[in-house]
Amino acid sequence: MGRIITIVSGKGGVGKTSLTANLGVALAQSGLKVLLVDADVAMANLSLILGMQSSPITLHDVLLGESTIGDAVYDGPGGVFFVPSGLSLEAYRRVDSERLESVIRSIQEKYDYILIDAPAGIEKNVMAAIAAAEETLIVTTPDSPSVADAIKIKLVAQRLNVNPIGAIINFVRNEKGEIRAQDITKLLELPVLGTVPEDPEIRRSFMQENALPMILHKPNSPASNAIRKIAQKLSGKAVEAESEAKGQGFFSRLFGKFRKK
Amino acid sequence: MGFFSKTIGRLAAIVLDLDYTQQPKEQIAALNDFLTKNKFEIETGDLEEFLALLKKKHFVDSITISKAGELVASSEGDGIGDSFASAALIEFIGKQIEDPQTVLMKMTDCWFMIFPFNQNIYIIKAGTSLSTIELRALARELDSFLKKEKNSRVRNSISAKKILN
Repeated sequence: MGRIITIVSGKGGVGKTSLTANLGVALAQSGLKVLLVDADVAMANLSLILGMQSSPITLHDVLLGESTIGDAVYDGPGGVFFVPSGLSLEAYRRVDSERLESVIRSIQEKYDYILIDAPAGIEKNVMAAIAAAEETLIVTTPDSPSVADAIKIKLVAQRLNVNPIGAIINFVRNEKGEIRAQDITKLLELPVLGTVPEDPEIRRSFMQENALPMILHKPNSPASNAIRKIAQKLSGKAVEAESEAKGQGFFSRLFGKFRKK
Repeated sequence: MGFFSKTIGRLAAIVLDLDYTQQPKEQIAALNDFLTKNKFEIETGDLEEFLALLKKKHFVDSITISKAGELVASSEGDGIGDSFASAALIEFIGKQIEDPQTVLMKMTDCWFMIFPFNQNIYIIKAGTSLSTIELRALARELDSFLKKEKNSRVRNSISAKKILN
């Protein structure tokens, strides 16, 4: 039986969808059979990040009972399998997201990992995505609004009896005002599986004619390396303990400015 | 500081990306406070206490469980009327509509939800309607508690018989 993990954040704009895509590819690259499911039935974006926006059969069709889940699975980039959500607003109004759990459980044994990209917020569709899994992974950025929403989504998962396994801190810039990883661990009462630095390559990776997850577009970028480490931790392989990144000094910041250009 | 030095300072901050941020300690304290008020650790073997904690965890006003029209448990003590009426209602609706999952009723000041699960009927009253996902989570939790309680009663009666023999 594969692991079903829903990636949640509470707050929107924390890079959850992009992280789901890259984490899925990193797991697939280590030889695991990975299925990515775009459960954001209202605001489907995962297909755009994977460069697979024109898939004829989607999760909408499956939840409407008009197609089987097998018909909605596509070969994605980097060896992942992918179930897209439709872009149609009309279909969104008609889908029953509560069917997601039985749909996902019906294919659990075919994959090592099923990663579900949940919508932001704590509404019904989010709960459906959480309830479809056995575990949740919480994505947050190191600021108080995002951490506050991460706490709320953790409480929602616990209410639905789904086990939160850890947190990922995204868009880390190592600024003094960022909430530190150890404080986030205390607040969420969860281990931090990794920190992903803010990396302009993430945005650039889908601003292409042929969009690809950043881990394929720039495999050696700092964010790609960080995501690979998280994937290794998640799949249970030994990873060197991540030492907390030190604050950048004056000269490295100054020269970093020029490097970026 | 004059206009010139202020402008130079701002320009330098932009060019060098100087970090003026600082740890939001009060915000972290507020989040800690929020967290302590929202802990849901239900560690009890007492049904009445369990129901009271479950009400708090799932933000509902009352929970009643009925089996074949008979009251199994109620968070409010007196649930016989609700239990009987809900069983009759579910039976009636089941005759009109195939396999009903949830019956939701909007009252003037609350929602009344009837949810059949594992041969029991769960009757939930709350200020707002719960989705089937939330109702199922609540019912599963209660169902597993009742099973544990039943098993422990059986174990106790077996050991009592052993002692008597």
